[in-house]
Amino acid sequence: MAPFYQFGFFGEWTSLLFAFAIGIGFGFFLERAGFGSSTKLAAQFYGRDLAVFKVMFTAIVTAMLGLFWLAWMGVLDLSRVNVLPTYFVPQLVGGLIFGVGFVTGGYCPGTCAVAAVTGKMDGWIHLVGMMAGILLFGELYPALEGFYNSSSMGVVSLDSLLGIPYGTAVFLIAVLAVGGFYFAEKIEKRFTSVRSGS
Amino acid sequence: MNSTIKYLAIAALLLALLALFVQNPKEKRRVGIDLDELARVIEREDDHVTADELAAMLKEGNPRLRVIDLRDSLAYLQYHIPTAERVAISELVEMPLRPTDTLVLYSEGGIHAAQAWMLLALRGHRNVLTLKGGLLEWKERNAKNDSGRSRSRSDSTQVKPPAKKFEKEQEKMREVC
Repeated sequence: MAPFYQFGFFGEWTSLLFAFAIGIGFGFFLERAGFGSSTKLAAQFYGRDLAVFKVMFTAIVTAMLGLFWLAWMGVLDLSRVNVLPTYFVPQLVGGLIFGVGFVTGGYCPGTCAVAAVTGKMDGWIHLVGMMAGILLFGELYPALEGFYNSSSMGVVSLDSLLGIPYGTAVFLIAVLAVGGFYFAEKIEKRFTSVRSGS
Repeated sequence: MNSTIKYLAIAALLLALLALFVQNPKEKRRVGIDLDELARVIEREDDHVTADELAAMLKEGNPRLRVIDLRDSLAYLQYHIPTAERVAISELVEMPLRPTDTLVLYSEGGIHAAQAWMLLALRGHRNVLTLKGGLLEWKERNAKNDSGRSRSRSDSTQVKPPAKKFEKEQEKMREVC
């Protein structure tokens, strides 16, 4: 039964090898999708290229449906899948800082690594800045610990938060994703035509 | 949208639609209980550690050791055992745990920790211990050690004060020792 590591099918080192292989796959597909380019990534905030939105939502729906149906078939124990707890205010603040960094730098953490290894200097600079930020957080952690652990809501899922069945939440998110995909294409066409003056 | 994407979107929507009608997979929960084994663990007292044993484990610095504080947030923020994470009992049931982790649970006295130990045992987790006597025993131990140290300090030679940066870490390690 999955998750295989949680059930002791393989040990620590094998799990790290799997993580390494998955990481290679992740980096490969990010680069193939063109996400090693800050111009392409930042373009989503101007409505010109919503590839990031489309890829992310596709990944969300694929993982969501996979988890649901594998658990329903009894081959995955959902209670052993790691879900981070929600700390409302710290995560809101962290998201804000992340958003500012993303638009300013044109990269998120994964994509700046992709850009860096494909030889882009801005990717390296973004990566160094990110590491410096992590180091700074670590040094300031004793002072930030109280805030960091504040407003804990525990492990929260959409279905438990909204008080709806799990299957209903899955359906609503899938509809939202497919609808979002459709409208993203409309938005891209509109902003591209506006830009070209047609 | 090209045709491949259209077919994939239709397939996703169909799977999502079916999800409305099938049993909630979160309601499927396996619980395997070997009562005899649990009873033997409790009789052998393999289910708990003393405050001294926990202090030794913390000094070793085992990265697989997780100390779990089951009290409320306020109590945790006021004081907690070094490296302890605060987890509510209701979250503990859902918390994913690596089989290689060793958990030491504690509460104020020990009752909640014992209850939480049973919940995790029912989930099939074996590397779980409770702190015998709870936080009360830990604090008593530290109080004894502190009074022992203050007697020996009055006889000792002057020691150069540590750099400010490490004072907090030193404070925490003194509690452990």
